Amino acid sequence: MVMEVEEEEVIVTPGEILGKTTTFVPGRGAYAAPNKTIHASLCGRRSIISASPNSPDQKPTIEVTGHKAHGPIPEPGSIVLARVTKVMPKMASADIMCVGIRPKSVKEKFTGIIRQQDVRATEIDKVDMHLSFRPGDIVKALVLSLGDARAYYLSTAKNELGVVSAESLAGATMVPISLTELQCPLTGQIEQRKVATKAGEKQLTTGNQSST
Amino acid sequence: MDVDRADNRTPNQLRPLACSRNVLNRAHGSAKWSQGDTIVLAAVYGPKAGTKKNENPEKASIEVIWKQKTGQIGIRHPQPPLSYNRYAMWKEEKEYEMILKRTLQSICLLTVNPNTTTSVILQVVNDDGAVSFWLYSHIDIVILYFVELNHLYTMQLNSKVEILLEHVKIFSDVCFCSFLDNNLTQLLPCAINAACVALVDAGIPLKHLAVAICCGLAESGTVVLDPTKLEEQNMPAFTYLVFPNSVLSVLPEGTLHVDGKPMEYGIITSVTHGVMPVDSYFDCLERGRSACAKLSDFLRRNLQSKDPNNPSKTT
Repeated sequence: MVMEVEEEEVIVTPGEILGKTTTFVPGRGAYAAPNKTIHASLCGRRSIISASPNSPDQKPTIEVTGHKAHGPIPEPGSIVLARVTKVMPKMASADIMCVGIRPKSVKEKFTGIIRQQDVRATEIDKVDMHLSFRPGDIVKALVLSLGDARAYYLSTAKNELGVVSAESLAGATMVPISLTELQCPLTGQIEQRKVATKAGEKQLTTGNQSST
Repeated sequence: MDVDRADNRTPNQLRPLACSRNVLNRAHGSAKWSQGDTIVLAAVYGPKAGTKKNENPEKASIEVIWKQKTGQIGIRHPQPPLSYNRYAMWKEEKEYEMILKRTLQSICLLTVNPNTTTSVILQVVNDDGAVSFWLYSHIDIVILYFVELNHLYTMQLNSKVEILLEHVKIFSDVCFCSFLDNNLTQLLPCAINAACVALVDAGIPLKHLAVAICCGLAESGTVVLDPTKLEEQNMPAFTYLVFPNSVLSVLPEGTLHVDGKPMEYGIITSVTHGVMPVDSYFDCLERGRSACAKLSDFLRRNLQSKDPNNPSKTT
């Protein structure tokens, strides 16, 4: 499905009125004021994106594009890639590196916390944090909430969330053999992790498997 | 009633403006704003994770850091001789940071990036060349230090400086000029304009732009726009005014009316020094608003220019 995008050459600046909420839906770089007018919030070109046929609201979206944008910021509901920095009995802390399904790297340092109850969906009280994550692991996680002033709360309580990349003691990138195990291709050593299954890939079994 | 100004400007005339964007590589957004010889450099970093202790984590927060001009390398500027004077300057800087913070918070869309902090650092590059000096008196010799246009001169005078000492407060063997109490004058509007352009350059979402102007009340009662530091020191009162940028719209003119009246944003910030009659204040508001409309056009032209590094200028 191709959406029509109509972009104007004129550059708008913050505060300029782009249209009315009765005609358009404010998109990126625009906001709706209380008096039912849509204003630009960024400096860029005004573009109108026609509504998709299956959307309930048939109003086109008005956006400001082509501006210098700041780096992506984690927000509740977004998928992030993070590097585990510290593992404690009740939680693990991680530095968020990328945000979004099509990951974009962050410009600033954002810290996330994965609490014991957010590691997996079942038997949450029996989770051993040291058998789920290790420092240096790359984790795919969901942002639950803004958390406190120090860190975002992250969750890996889905099959597709968890460790996506980890190094063994031998220095090789380990391969997943089950939902809870990774294996070093050099030494054959198996390590416990909360493993993420790749979307579209055959589900990993929960039992132990020997690699052949 | 006409006012004689040192630079031969009319009361309604602004100093030459210049603005450059994207002047710093490491900052997420930066701008240099000049009004005559007053130059302020603004840098924006962020949004960074987390908010400070007393800030609302449900909203984005703004942090403002003011950095005063420290002088040229290799030239040692005289320090304020008394600790209380240094404290007064520090206190005034904090006051300016608070004014800037509140002004910028009112123009930013704080709900877009909650639980983040955006740092705005303002560096005074050049004050408008006004004389600021300390006097150190030792028996019959007075050593006069004064800084003018970034150059330090040292003069030895005889003890016959009664005319000069009329304007000087004397504490034991140290004298310094009383107008140092207003050390940051005229920089605030310049800093607000620079910060606003830097925020746009960083891609921080704003409700609207802000333009700032200083209006002074001459001793004759005439309102003077954009006074220099030296002019301000001789004025009984002056006010800093911050207005939103003039409304531009793709909609037809009639739609910009609410209940039959033209839609206006009003005023964002007003800071007044000294005593000013109400009529004079309203006159300042009127003159300031019309001057800010011109500033707003200049700002918009600058932001719409293709090359952000090319400093657009106007006289």
